[in-house]
Amino acid sequence: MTAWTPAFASPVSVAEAASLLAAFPSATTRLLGGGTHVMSQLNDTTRTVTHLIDLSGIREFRTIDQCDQTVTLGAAVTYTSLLSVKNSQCAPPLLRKIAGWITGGPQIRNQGTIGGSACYANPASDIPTGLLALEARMVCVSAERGVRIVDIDKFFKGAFLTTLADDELLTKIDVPVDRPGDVWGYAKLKTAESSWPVAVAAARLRKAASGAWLAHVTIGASTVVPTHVGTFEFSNDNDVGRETLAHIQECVNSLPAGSFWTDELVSDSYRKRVASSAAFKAILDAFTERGN
Amino acid sequence: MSSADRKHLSLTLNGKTITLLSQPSAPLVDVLRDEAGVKGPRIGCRNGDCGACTVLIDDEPYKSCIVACARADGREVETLDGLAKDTLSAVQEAFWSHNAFQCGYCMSGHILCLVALFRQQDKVTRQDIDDAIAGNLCRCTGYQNIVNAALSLIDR
Repeated sequence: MTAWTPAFASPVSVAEAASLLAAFPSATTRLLGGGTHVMSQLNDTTRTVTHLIDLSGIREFRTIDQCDQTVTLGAAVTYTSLLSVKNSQCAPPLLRKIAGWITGGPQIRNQGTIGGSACYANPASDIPTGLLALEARMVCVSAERGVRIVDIDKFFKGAFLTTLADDELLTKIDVPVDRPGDVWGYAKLKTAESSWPVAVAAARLRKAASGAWLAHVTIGASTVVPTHVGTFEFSNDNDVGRETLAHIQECVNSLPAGSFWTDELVSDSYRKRVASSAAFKAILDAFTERGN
Repeated sequence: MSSADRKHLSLTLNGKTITLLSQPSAPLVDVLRDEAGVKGPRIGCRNGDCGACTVLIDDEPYKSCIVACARADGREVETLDGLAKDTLSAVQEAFWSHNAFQCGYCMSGHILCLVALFRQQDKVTRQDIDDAIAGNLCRCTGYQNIVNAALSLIDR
C-alpha cells in the first residue's frame, strides 16, 4: 500500500476545485490530473500528502476546442485524446508529434495529460518545450483572484517550479493555430526506451517573404526550463550541415551559466553538449516533414 | 473534504460486477490484488515505469499502480486472470508457443497491451507491436520472443 492515504475530493466544476484548493494547506495538497506523477508521490515517504483533489470529474478539463486562430486544450486532455482528434486542425501538429513519442507506452499516453506535464515542470520532459515553441498561453484560476492568463515564457520558473500560486490551478491551455505552410520538427535524445529525455528540441520551419526558410528552434530537457535558442536561415534543406551545427552550438554555449539540468541520468555538461545535436536533428526533421 | 474515509467502489472486473469498500486514492493494483483477489496485475516499480501492473480499463491499457482506484468506479476492468475462458486466449497461446516469457513477472503487462492492440486494430504492423509494448520492461527475454509471439498473430 502507499505511504499516504490522503483525504479525497472529486469536484465537478472549476469553481469547486479552486475553492477546495484554497481551503486546504497547499504544501500537502495535490491535484490529481492524469496521476502519472502524483500517484507515484503517494509512495514517497519524504513528502507529506494529506489531501488529494481529483480533477477527472470536471468535464471542461477534457475538451479540445478551436475558436478562430486558437486551439484550447482542457488542462486534463490526455496524449491519447490529442492523438485521437479527427480534425487535425484542432490538434496542434507539434503536440501530436510529441504525444506519439511520450515515454511509457500506450498506458502513459492514456493517462498522462498535457496540463499535468506542464504543471509538474520536470526539466527532463517533452511538453514544456512543445508549449514554449508553440507560444501557448496558460489559463489559471484561483478562488480568490479569478482568472489569470500567463504567457508560456513566464510560466516555468525553474525545475519543478511554475508561476502557479499555491491556491491556483491550470484550467486551459490556449495554443495559436499554425500559419499556413508552417511545419514542425521534433527530436529527442534519451538513454533508453524507458528513460526520461536527456535533450529535446522543436523546430518550426516557416518560409520568409524573401523565399528563405526560417527555422525557429526551442530546446528543453537539457535545460532547467525550456529555452528559445534562435532562428536559423536556410535557402533549402541542403544548407543544413556542419555550419548549422556550429552556429547552434554557439547559441547554446551563449546561454547563461546554470541553464542546464543535472539529474541521475546525466550531468549538465553532457546535456549542454547534446542540446545542439537535438536542435540540429529537429531542423532536419522539419525539412523531412516539409518534403512529406 | 473529509478524512481519508473508505468509499464504495463498483466496477466490472473480468465480466463480473463487484462492489468494494476502498480508500479512493489507493492504487488500483492494490485494490485488485488485496481486496478483489486477482493476482494477474503484478506490483513492480509503483512508479508507472515497468508496466507489470497493467490492466485494461474500458479496453485501454493503464498502469494500475498509478491509477487511483476511484477512477475505476463504474468502469470495466480486465486483468490477465480474466483472459482465458475454456482455453487460453490467442495472445496467451502465442506466448506459450513462442516461449515469450521466462520469469513471467512482466508477462501480464505485455499480454494485456497486445490484447488491446489486436482488439483495436484490424491491421497490425511490427511498428504497432513495438509501440504497444514500449511501456513494459522485461529483463529476461530481450523482447525478441515477445515480438515473435505478437508477429505470429498477424493475419491469423
